[in-house]
Amino acid sequence: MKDRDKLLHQIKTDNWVILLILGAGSSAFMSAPFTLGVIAGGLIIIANFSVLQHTIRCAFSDRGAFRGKKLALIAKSYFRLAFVGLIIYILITNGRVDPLGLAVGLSIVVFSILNLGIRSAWRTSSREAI
Amino acid sequence: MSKKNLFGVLTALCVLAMASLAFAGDDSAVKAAGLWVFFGIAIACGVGIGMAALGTGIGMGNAINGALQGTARNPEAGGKIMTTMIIGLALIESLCIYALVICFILVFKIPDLGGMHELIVKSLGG
Repeated sequence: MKDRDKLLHQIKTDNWVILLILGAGSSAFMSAPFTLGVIAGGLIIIANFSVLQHTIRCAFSDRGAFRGKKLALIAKSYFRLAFVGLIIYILITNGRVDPLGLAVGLSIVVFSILNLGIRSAWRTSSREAI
Repeated sequence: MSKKNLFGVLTALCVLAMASLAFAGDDSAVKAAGLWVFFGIAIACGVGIGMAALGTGIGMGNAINGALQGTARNPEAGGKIMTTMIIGLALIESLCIYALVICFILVFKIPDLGGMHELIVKSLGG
């Protein structure tokens, strides 16, 4: 596996681990709507991240040139955003999920990227110390 | 609009809002205050999501611009640049999603839309 694939694979794994930790923690200490919000938000953002990655990979080959049709790629991107917006709208207006829990769930990718950044900074600084 | 004019308009709006709250004892003033709240939420949502979309667009545009320039100058590093770009785009996009969630919360969760609607209808004499 190449370095760049390893990085994305690491983020994807971290996403699921963080979702599991947050879901378990909120189910133990918070209300059911909050837990549902965390899980729903996490699933939405993880799917969104995977589709974003797939779209960008389809859009650019290794040589940096467009591989597919431009219009289809742009339509796919807008469709993804509209779909995420619609799902969030339905979840919030439905009233079964806590909006704060949803916001926490939607932050899962941010948490995993921050985690990766902190870990790599720590690794770099410890290597420099040696 | 110059800075002075903008400041004047904002001050007038604040004074009007405070005046409507100060006369909250009166029934019509309560209705006016309710309308101001509704007005404020509508403005906040429109401006908020617009600014979030603007910032996200500028940020994503800059990221893609830099990534494409880097790839064009050094095609061998294209894969690494693309991976970093994907991570950056995910971070930028999450900001816009937060703004969308906050707008939905403002519109659908904070005000009692049914009560507000009745208030507006009554204040208009319907």
